[in-house]
Amino acid sequence: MHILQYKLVLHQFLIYESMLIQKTPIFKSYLQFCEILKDQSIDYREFEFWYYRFIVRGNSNFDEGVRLKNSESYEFFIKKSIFSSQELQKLQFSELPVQIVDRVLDKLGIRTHLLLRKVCKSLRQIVDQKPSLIKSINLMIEDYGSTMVIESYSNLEPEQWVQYANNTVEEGAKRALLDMKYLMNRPKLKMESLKISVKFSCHTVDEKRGETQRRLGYYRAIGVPRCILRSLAHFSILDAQFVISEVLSTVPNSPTINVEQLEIYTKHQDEILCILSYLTPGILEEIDIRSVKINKIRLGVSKILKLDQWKMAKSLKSDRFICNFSAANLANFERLKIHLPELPLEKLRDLRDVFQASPSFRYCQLDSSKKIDIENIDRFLGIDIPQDPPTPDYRYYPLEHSDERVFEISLMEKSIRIKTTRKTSLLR
Amino acid sequence: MSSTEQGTSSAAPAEPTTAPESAAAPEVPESFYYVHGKDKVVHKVSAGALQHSALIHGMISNLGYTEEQAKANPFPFENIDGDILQMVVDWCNQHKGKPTPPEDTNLPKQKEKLFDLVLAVNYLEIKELLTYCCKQVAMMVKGKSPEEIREIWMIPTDAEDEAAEKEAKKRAGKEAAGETAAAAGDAK
Repeated sequence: MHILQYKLVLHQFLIYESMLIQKTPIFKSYLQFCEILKDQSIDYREFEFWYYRFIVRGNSNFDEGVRLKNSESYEFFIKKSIFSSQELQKLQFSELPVQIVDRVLDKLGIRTHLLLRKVCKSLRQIVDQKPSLIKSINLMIEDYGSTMVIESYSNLEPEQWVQYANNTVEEGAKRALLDMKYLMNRPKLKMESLKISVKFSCHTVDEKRGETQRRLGYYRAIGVPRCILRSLAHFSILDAQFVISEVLSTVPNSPTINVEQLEIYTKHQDEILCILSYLTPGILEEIDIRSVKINKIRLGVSKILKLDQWKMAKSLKSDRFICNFSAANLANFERLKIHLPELPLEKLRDLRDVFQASPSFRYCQLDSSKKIDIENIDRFLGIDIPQDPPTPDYRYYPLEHSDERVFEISLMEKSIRIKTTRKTSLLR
Repeated sequence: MSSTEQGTSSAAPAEPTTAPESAAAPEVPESFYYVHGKDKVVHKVSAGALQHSALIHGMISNLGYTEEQAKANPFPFENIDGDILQMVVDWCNQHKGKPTPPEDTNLPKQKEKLFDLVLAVNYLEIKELLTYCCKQVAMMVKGKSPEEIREIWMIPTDAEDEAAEKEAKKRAGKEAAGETAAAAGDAK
């Protein structure tokens, strides 16, 4: 018999017992109960405990062992219930059993959960144990304050906006980061997407005031693991970033945040590094690197491409000019849409070779800021499959691992698109 | 050998089917049970209405509690106040054999009564009503600030809580010391 069912029957039996046969000796009562349970009997001592508590003490509440506060021992509760029955007290929320509080929390959205965490310690503990239902988080730290948009899998409040408008940007950002860290540490987290943008408008951006360090401080704060969350409660992002980076170096990186898609507005690869190393490799499929400003600048990726998260991702998008990488670093991606400062034909040849050998490759778009030397392309890429009728903008090459599919390269002045396609597309 | 046996058994005529049950079932008169709360006021409730409560329904079906026994001994719910039990009984009667609506507006608005009701409903295991009540409790704090929530639910702050705990410990310690002193006095 299932444990809950047996408890239910015991509960019913004891009420029954207290009603009818009040003078039954305890052992006889136990034997009767065993008869009802038939094949599975319970321990006599356990029966005795409930019997005395129920019938002799008159404490007929089964759930009293688990309460929001003071859940130490049953004896404590028996004592407490004797006292509380004498004093006529009004029932308070904190006296409700935990499973009811849990049910109440189920009826509230994430936004209210975030507020409930700030009410008291006991509520914080219960809220923190609730499994995550978060589909996506979009965190925006900007001049006028911070905003977090939380999408949830539950249809109760599917999308919620939380604004953090404080006197200072730092104060708002700090509160947003703390809330976000809690959300990321909820059990059973599996998010579809995570978007992080730290954007400041031109008049506040001043290198002398340490804008780069300040941005990095925010990103580092997101990556800090939960065990030091408490020490974070009093931090000032500007002052404590060195402390945080020190802590980071001592705590081993434990990538436990399950996110499928990461979108990050960034100025420097160190910022990406802060976030990426905490996401679970293998689960992270898409990396989307965006530019903070409209004018595109170069982004070195030499550090991040060593991470497992990069090596196991399937899709890469970037509107920044990606540099400091070799063709082999892109071999794992199925889909690519990246910008490059320039695209020399040697590099294009290397990329083609890598993609041709990769069985999972599907599509790649390379946009270059400089003109691509299309005229000399045959010298580097070799002889292509002849087409009928010939088209000047497309080249086809055989694929190593497939007879049915071919490799198509479409050539434009500043952009090249590479994909695998069926052989039939050769015939028009 | 076994094959012949199987053959004979399969050849035997099928047993006549029993008479269709739906036609034979007579109209059973509704049975009533009795419950009382802390105030000992007895409420008469039909078995249909009591089906909402998994606890009472289980007692009737699992333990074979009969109507005659019920008359002599009403279900005692000493931990439930009379007015709360009245509310629960009314709700069960209203929703007897009906599909429960998505919203229930008849629930009490005062928080003390609502909390008592939640406890009673949880004890009696009335699932639908518990869902409504929990929703009602949740709605009390929706869109409120942490300070307001603390006030509405009457939750002490962590600092107050710690102070109260310390005091309780101190008192317990004093009592224990007093007891040991008394015991020592007795021994002497």
